[in-house]
Amino acid sequence: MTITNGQVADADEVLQITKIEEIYSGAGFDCTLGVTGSYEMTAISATKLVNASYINISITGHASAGYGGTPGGATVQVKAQIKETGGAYGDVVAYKTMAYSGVGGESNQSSQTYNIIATVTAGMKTNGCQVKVFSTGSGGAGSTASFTNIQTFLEVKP
Amino acid sequence: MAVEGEFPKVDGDVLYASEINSFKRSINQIYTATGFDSAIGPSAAAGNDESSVELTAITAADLVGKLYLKISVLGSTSMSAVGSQTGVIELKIQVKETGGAYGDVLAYIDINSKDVAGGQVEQKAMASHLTYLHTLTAGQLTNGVQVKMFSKSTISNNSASDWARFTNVQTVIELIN
Repeated sequence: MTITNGQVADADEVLQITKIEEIYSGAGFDCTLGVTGSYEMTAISATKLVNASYINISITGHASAGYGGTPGGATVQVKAQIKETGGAYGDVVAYKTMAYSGVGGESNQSSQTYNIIATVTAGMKTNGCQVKVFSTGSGGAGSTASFTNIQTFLEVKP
Repeated sequence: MAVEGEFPKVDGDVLYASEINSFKRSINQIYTATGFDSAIGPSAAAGNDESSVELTAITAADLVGKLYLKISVLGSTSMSAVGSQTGVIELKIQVKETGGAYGDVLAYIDINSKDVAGGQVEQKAMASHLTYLHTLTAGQLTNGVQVKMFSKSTISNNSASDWARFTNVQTVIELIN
């Protein structure tokens, strides 16, 4: 979207400058050891993607990983997928580690924000799109792993 | 016809200068000082250090057409804990309508903490980035709003190898439509 001096801007062009589409603070994609959580955010209609170029997927959560002595440690990871409505999901980014522990008896916790930028394709502009977020916890016997969503939001950007 | 400051607009409505200037001012303030840094240890009694700072109040005029505050904190954290001791570094965010009282929008969450079993010393330092979206209330839109940032660092043991600290690098308030 480029509006030049003297041009009449349509309302949708102006209001598309930046738009928060959804704020999700539920537990739908929380995870524990050996359990993967996933949650589909509300689908975004094509009419809301006029002039959009990107979607910022902002995930803020608390991750905890406790090592139980099994080789490989304990790990908590998150990822985001996106699909064109009617299509199939694909990773925007594959799993990224939010917490890891590899020392016997140690438990690491942190709260962080991951901002993941997805590019809006021509197909998404035509058909709409949907975002799915995941967390997963892995580790051996005696380990602990968990992710707790604090706030995840979608921000449509020009 | 939507009046000045009324959203959403539809095609044919007038877009006022105050509104487009508001769109332009998305970054409201950048805070890089130490007002809510916290630190305890090494060689300090078990307990915590808590600090807070009120960021600059945001006027109602700056909130015309806005729906959210995006509060982004970039900080560095460092902690060390010996044996079975613990260390915790936490952040909290409060917001108030100008003339009102502060309330938690994000209660304390630990941004870096650890528990260690056995006799070893574990040290953990990391950059922490946290973004939180606050939905502006009608009262805040009418009277203005102010944000207060907190950090708290806690240790459970007194030794040269037990400490916890948070250092603000950059805290940004962004006004979102």
